[in-house]
Amino acid sequence: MKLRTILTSAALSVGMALSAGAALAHGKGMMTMPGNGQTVGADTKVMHLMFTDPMQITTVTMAAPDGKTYKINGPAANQAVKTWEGKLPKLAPGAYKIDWRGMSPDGHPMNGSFAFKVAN
Amino acid sequence: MGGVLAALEPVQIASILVKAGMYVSVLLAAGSVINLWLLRELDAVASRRLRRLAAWSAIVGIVFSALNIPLRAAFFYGGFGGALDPMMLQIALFSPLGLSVEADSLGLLAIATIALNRSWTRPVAFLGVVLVAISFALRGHATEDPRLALATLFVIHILAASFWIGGFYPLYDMAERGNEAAVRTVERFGQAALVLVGLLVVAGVVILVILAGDPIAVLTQPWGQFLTLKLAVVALLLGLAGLNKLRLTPALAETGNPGPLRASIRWEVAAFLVILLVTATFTSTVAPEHVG
Repeated sequence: MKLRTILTSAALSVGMALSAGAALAHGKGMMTMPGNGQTVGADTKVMHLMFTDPMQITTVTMAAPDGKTYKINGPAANQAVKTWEGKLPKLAPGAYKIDWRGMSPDGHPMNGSFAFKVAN
Repeated sequence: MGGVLAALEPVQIASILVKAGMYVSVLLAAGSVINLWLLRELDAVASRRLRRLAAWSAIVGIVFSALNIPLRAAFFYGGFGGALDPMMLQIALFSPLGLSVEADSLGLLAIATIALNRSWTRPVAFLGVVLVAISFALRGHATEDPRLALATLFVIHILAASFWIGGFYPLYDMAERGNEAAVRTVERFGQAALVLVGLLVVAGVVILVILAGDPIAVLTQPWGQFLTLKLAVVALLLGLAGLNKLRLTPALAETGNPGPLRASIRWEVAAFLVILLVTATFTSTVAPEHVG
């Protein structure tokens, strides 16, 4: 087998692996409010990300049922916090998904997501 | 493992490719300097070529290392737009990654001076090699407890890997001559490899045990599966190294025909590229959960 064949096979293997399913799991040991899968009232005004160690949360976005993605504002990205509180926009009934990113105290990039519903 | 790869975003894919490029160039730069010192039978032409390779690899390594910062900023931001966001760049720059990139770049600059071939450039380049190895201990899992032990093991692992990857070009180059100097060069590398490859494997295994606990239990995690893939290619690489030492080097001495040894080195290079790509992928995507 020639070198080119080996490199092509390696590239194909990575490509095939890229086409498989499932999702990344990060931020284990953390809690959120609302919790993942929870149904909340339309009067919910804030969300929380809670960690065992202080985290720098750099970006939090929320995908809403109207198809738009909202940026959620909270403590500054360069500030490490154990509990991050973000102000939610006015919620309409439907399914929401929150995505967050940040950095752990030892410098690891972290990300995670959770979903919740707003009752009619 | 496939699931982890499928969930990768464009920013993460770019980060993995840049990291793999950084591994190749940085290890090649450091390893070329180590082999310039170790392989004393290199002739003037081979020495000059190796110095040039070290310098060019160092320059490419600085570019790849520096790219880590805007890419990390882009990850924090959630898209490539973050690569230019001042707040995200500041967070990336003042993180352990930033410190590591600064140390790495300084070390690579020192290595690049070897192209000048003055009396002071070899010690400076050697300091650069040490700095580059230390830079790997300033980021990621090397900064976890027990920090001193992990940092030391990572430095050993990086130096030994550099030695190996940096040996491919001078061996390939010298083997072509098929003369006595070529045989002595390959034999000398083989003797050093017995110690350094041993250190590479032992340091890797101890790092695995410290980070993951029970190495068998982690095989059920995506991290363990990436690691298994890496170890399978490492096993292939060790097999080729054994073949080189026990069969192909004596054959070169007997026949003066460099063909089989050079072909084997090409395979080793391919295996090393796969190992570095797999390492860049799993160190960028999944962390081990400590078991046991």
